[in-house]
Amino acid sequence: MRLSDALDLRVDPRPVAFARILLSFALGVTVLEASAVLGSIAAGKLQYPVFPALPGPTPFGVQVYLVVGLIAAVCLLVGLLTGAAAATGSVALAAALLWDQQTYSSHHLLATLLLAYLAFAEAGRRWGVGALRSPPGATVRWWPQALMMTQVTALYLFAALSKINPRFLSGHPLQEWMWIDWPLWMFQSLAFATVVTELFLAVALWIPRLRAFAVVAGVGLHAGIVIGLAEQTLVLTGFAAASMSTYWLFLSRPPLGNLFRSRPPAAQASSAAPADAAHTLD
Amino acid sequence: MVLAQFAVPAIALTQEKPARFGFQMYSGYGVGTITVLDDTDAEIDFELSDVFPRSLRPELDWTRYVPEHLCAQLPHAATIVIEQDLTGRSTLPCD
Repeated sequence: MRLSDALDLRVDPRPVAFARILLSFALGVTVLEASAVLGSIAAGKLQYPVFPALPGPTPFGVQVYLVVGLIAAVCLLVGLLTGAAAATGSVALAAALLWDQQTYSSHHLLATLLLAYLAFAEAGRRWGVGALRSPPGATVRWWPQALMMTQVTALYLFAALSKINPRFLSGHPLQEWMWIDWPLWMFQSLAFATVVTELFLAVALWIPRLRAFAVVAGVGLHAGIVIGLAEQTLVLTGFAAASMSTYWLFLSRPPLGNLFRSRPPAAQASSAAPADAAHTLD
Repeated sequence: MVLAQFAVPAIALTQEKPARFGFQMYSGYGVGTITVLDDTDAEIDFELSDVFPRSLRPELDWTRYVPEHLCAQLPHAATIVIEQDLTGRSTLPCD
């Protein structure tokens, strides 16, 4: 299969429908968080404009932003106009980033990017209102899913690399952020384990023999973050949802080995078939 | 596109940390403190949540908008002292 064939490859619609549902939650949480920040700025708190010449947030503007963002999240959740909803959600999150610098966070950026890819993923073909008009055996494009997976890989890789520094590995930051009262050596161990786990995820999610373990490790990592950190529980749950939205995509993805090889005729014929097309390319 | 997904955070990794677009969350970088002093150099207590919409982001340059805002919001503020990984220690008088 040539790389151009990868653009035509179509796969089972269920994994990306699952991703859509988790990303709807991440979008809702991120819109609420950004609205709270922008609303506070509109009420007179510190403003950090990206473009100082442009007007800052106003109460009405923030309300419009909140309503638009939440409608997009609900549409994604129920599978209605999913392409437009994902695009709207991504644009809304990007607009918040441009409205004030204090809205920036890694999970905000991640949700913005994943929703942008999701907009092209035909994610409403299962488990939603749009699925009612979808014929049985319908398939969806794979390339947006590939971009979602590589994006999350970059997230884990650089999250790990940036943590390889004396301050984080000293355990003191984790000791400060977590509510648990442990001795310092436990936090030092946890710091090393966090880096190792994130590096493992960046690699192992792509390796068929390891990806199930990676999913378990990833769920454990995100559960540990949500439960262990003392603050921002809802926001961190949204971050977990965004990151884990891709896990089924990794578990069900087509084999990469064939991407740069010529494709046998039988496999070419099957690339348009639903669900199990990926496995015939092994 | 995939190249950009990895190149942007790779470049961010070479910049002053924490850097935006680098997925460097919870990496321990960006610690800082803000102290507000009155005319007698006595410290003024204030709630961060009363003046900032959220905890100040570590990748922001706190010397840029924070002093002006605090001077305007806190009536007896005379000097703002900012210590931040990104900018070092800055002592900034209110006008």
